[in-house]
Amino acid sequence: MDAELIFWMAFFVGGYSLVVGWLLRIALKKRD
Amino acid sequence: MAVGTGNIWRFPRVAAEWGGGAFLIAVTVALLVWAVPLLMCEFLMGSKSRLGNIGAFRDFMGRKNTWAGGFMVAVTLGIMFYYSVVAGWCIRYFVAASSGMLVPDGAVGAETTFGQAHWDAFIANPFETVTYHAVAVIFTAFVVFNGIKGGLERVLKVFLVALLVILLLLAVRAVMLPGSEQGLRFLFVPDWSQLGSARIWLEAFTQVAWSTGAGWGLLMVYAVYARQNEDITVNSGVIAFSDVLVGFFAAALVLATLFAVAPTPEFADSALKSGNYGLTFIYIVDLIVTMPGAWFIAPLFFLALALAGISSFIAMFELATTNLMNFGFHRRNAAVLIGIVAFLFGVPSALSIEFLGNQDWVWGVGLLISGLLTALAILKYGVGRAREEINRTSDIKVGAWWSASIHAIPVIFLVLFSWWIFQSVRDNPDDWWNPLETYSTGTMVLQWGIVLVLVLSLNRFFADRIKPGPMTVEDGNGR
Repeated sequence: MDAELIFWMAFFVGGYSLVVGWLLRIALKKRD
Repeated sequence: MAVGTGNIWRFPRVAAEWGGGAFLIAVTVALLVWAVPLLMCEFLMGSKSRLGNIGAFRDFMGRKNTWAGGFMVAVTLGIMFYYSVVAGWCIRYFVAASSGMLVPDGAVGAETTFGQAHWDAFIANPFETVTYHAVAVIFTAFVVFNGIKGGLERVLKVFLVALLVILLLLAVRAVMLPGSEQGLRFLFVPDWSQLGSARIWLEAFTQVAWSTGAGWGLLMVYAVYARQNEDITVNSGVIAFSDVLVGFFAAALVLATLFAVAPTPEFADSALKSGNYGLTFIYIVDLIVTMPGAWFIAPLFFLALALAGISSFIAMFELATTNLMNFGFHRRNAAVLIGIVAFLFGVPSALSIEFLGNQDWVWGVGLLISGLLTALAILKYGVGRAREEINRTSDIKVGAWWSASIHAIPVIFLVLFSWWIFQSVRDNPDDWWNPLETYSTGTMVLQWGIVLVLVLSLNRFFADRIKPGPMTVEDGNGR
């Protein structure tokens, strides 16, 4: 895999995962 | 949250067709300005009214506009009636894959025409299509019959976790295949020139409606059963972003496999142009049977698809049941009644793929109208008031962008809607007006028109008969 592909995969999959993780963390904190 | 089959079979195809990474950028924008704001509206309406869609519209838009909730329910019912057939196909393919029927002896490495023959034989057998449609309806009715705490919540949770694990496993497996890189490039690396095209934006907005369920009214019903102080912003954000993330995994799985295993570039090209059913039930079968480990991969793939199909079907079934319960029906009676109606109205789609295609066309585009009606309900209720109420329960406060998005939704609707109509007229210059044509503007207008006349004439009945909720008394929207 070349650097360009790795960058864009990380950008989309990583970016969305970060957003979901951040929101879930807030949700779980609130539930406690 | 329900991850629909639209994420698995629609997302990969549309993403590959519309510039890969550029499409993903357009999807992200559509998510922020259309899907997330709409999901927040739906959540607020359900949470505050504590009523299904019809009652929520009555209490947010006033008694005179109760019909709008009826229209939304009718659109989702229109989808539900053929969705059970599609969920049945998924179950059938899972059964076939598990029993080895999808991987005939000596098929590994054989020429890839098995999928078409298998599909043709299945679809031409009404006994099988109706039976699997019935299996999907009976299973779902049973789950909804037992109630939220009696099984529905647990079933959806188990399905979702299983689906995510399977998709992740298959995606990792697909990415490891030699030659998969080309498929991943296709998906993730942006073709910037595409961003200038109007079509990519239209496809992105349509896809987010399918991926996240914005405009279906499903979240409105979920919110009725959720705690009243549930965080609206966080919940809507989690649903929207995680649904699209699942779409990424599904797209990586399908495109990586397609490019790694397809015997020729022409095969990959025709697979991507073969529509939702063609890609999933014909080309994927051809690809899977030629892969090493097909006996294991094929059942897993179709299990994921079946789980996605049934979990979406359960959410739609629950929507219908909750609305009926608001008329005074007991949950169990409502579930049985909806089950019978879903089976009967689904039979034409089980018997004719053309009929199913027509319903998909009419009610799929109808979702845009449901989204518009939701935004109009909030505009009528007061965008500022709604924003204040959302912020009261939410840790992440929404700002002026949210209000601007709600005001922009009618404009976005007009553009999207005009485009779909334009496309339909352009692709069918002679028959676009003909209501008997499967994919014509005429058939859409006729069926929407019938539903509109029906819900408008029942407006008073709806407004009177739906039980009062906490807002009804407060705002004087009751009898």
